[in-house]
Amino acid sequence: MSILLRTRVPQVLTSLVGLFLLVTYFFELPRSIVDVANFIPRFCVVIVAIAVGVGTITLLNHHVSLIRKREAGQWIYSIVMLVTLSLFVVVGLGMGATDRTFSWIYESLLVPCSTTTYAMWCFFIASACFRILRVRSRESLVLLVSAILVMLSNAALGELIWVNFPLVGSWIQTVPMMAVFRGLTMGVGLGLILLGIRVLLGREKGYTGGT
Amino acid sequence: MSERVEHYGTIVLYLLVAVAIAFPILNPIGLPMVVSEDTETYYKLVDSLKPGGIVHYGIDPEIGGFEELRSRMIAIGRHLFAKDARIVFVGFDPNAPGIYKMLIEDIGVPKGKVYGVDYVFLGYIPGLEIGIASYAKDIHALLSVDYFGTPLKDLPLMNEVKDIKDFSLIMSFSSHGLPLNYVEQISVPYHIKVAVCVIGVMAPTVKPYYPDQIIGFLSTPRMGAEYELLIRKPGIGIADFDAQTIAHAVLLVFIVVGNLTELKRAKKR
Amino acid sequence: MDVVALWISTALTIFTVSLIFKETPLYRFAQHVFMGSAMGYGIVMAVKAVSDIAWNPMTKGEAIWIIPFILGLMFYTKFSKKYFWVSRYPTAVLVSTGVALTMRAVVRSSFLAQISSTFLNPLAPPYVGSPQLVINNILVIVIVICTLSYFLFSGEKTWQRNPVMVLLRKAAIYFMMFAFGAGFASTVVSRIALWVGRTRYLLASEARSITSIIIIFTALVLVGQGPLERMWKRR
Repeated sequence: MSILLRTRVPQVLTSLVGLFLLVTYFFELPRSIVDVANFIPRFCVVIVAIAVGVGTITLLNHHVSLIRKREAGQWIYSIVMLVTLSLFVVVGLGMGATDRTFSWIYESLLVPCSTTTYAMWCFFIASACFRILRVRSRESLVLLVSAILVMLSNAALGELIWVNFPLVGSWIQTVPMMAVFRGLTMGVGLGLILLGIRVLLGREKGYTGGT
Repeated sequence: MSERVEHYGTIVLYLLVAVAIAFPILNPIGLPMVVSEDTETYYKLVDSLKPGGIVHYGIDPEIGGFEELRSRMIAIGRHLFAKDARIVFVGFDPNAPGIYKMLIEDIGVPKGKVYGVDYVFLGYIPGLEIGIASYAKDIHALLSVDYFGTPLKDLPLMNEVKDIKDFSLIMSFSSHGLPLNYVEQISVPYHIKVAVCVIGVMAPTVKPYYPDQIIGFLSTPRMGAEYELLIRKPGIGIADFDAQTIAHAVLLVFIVVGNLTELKRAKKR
Repeated sequence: MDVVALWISTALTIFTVSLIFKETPLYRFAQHVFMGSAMGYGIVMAVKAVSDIAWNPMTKGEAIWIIPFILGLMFYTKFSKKYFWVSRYPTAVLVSTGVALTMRAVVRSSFLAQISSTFLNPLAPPYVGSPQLVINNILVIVIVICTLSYFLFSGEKTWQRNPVMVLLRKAAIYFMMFAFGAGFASTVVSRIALWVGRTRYLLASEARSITSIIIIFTALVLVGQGPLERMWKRR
């Protein structure tokens, strides 16, 4: 009974719900059954939002334990993290997410940190251009030629060389690059279909604690 | 010793890139630009909208990717308001509300446009693909209020929109895989093509769907600058284009120098 | 943006980017502010979404919204050593819904539509007048076939050794390298655009003096951190 409730029933539930949604999509069924099927994704929207708290609690557990242990070189930063998190939660839930103060702390704290964390990659790309983008074989020569042609067409450099240069970059992205990624997309699509079938048949057990 | 040389060489490299980008921002050059076919296609798509047509404007980037999409989002937003389109702003990324506030300030809503009549913001809908599917099926069954707490039935614009089929044009501006989710949950079930703007990193993945399932496709910041040229409202796209060009030039120099170094090393061996 | 916000956001920007030189306490501070902000903002948005989509309608009489609340709260049993298995139920619902929604569309979007877009008759009327389009269509067909053949892993000792297959796979490698080069260039333009945006913000007229002061401060920390750490260790 215990194993039934703990693993088998969730697996069966996965198969039933998934097959139910697929059947209601592909076949004409009575309105009442279709309405039930329409409710399920709406419920999942709410479930996903409620589940955000799980990640928060995990993070809080980790950082609170670091603070308790006075982990050298880390516990002060954990306090910083908790203070910032509390600030957002208190202002957002207390004053409302539409409040100007909440927007202020969003634009002052989250926007610069997040944008700069991604923007830093510009420097790492520059380093990669110098160290890694080197011709060591015929294949890497082909990669380099293509990269240079597209880089020239993405900036005004191409136009300075030849006014129709951007057409070269556009052709590369529309024909060979698109064709290769189309092949990859089809392969990934096949993989997704097979994975979906495995999940619906109950063969994928990782998320239900099986092996 | 060689480690120190490499370390300081890296610092010099980074400083060169930073200066190369800073210089044209402080001293604009005004480099030439030819408008691409993809930008013209997207422009014509928006330009062909009838006055009063309702547009779904998907604010779907993460805040980290918003900076790259900003010029395109602003230019297209301004174009939509100029065409008297009515816009439903909504986002499937949690950053949508924060980005909406910055975006609407940047676009500058024209005088005479009224919230609730000409544009609304429905807020953030969780669930990614599941959220898109629910939204497309029946907006009023999923949402009862807009982001500011106003009941949808009190917003005249939302009384004309029940589901995804009521939109004249569906747009997504995204920095991750959401355009593919739009294709799967809107293009396939409802046979409606979507227009997308993506960041450069996502362009190869999304390109195979264009033009059969995606009707408009802007993939680089340069296209934002081109769009500003087409609508004759210069903005940050054109302002950033010079810096983009100089930065590319510097990186191409790095590639050449790196390869010359490699050639020298290969000859020594 | 007011002055205080300018100072805070400029400082956080420069502290974050100081990582490219060296990891400093300033960078770690900025990163932990980022983590806390992202998590806090996510919580607020999630609570607001739940409130707008489910809680308000439920309090107005739509009792059916209690179901996702119960399922969502079941996730929190994950932290219990005795009842952690209860969280598998909402996981099962989410996984099955996601799989069903994806599967019903991916067959067409990622597979059938891609095939029909690829295998166009290159000599059909729309393309006949334009040799470039004909060549492009033929190239697309050839490249897609080559790419797909590269990822076929069965038949290693039989049909994989066929000269045609060997040629297709060799061609596929070159086509893929060409495509990945173009993809790399797209990544370059994307990353440069992000830093250009940040630079525009840092060099805006109202932020220039603030930027200079914070850069000098960060540079002093970068330079002084090493000697200070060595002094501290000796003590």
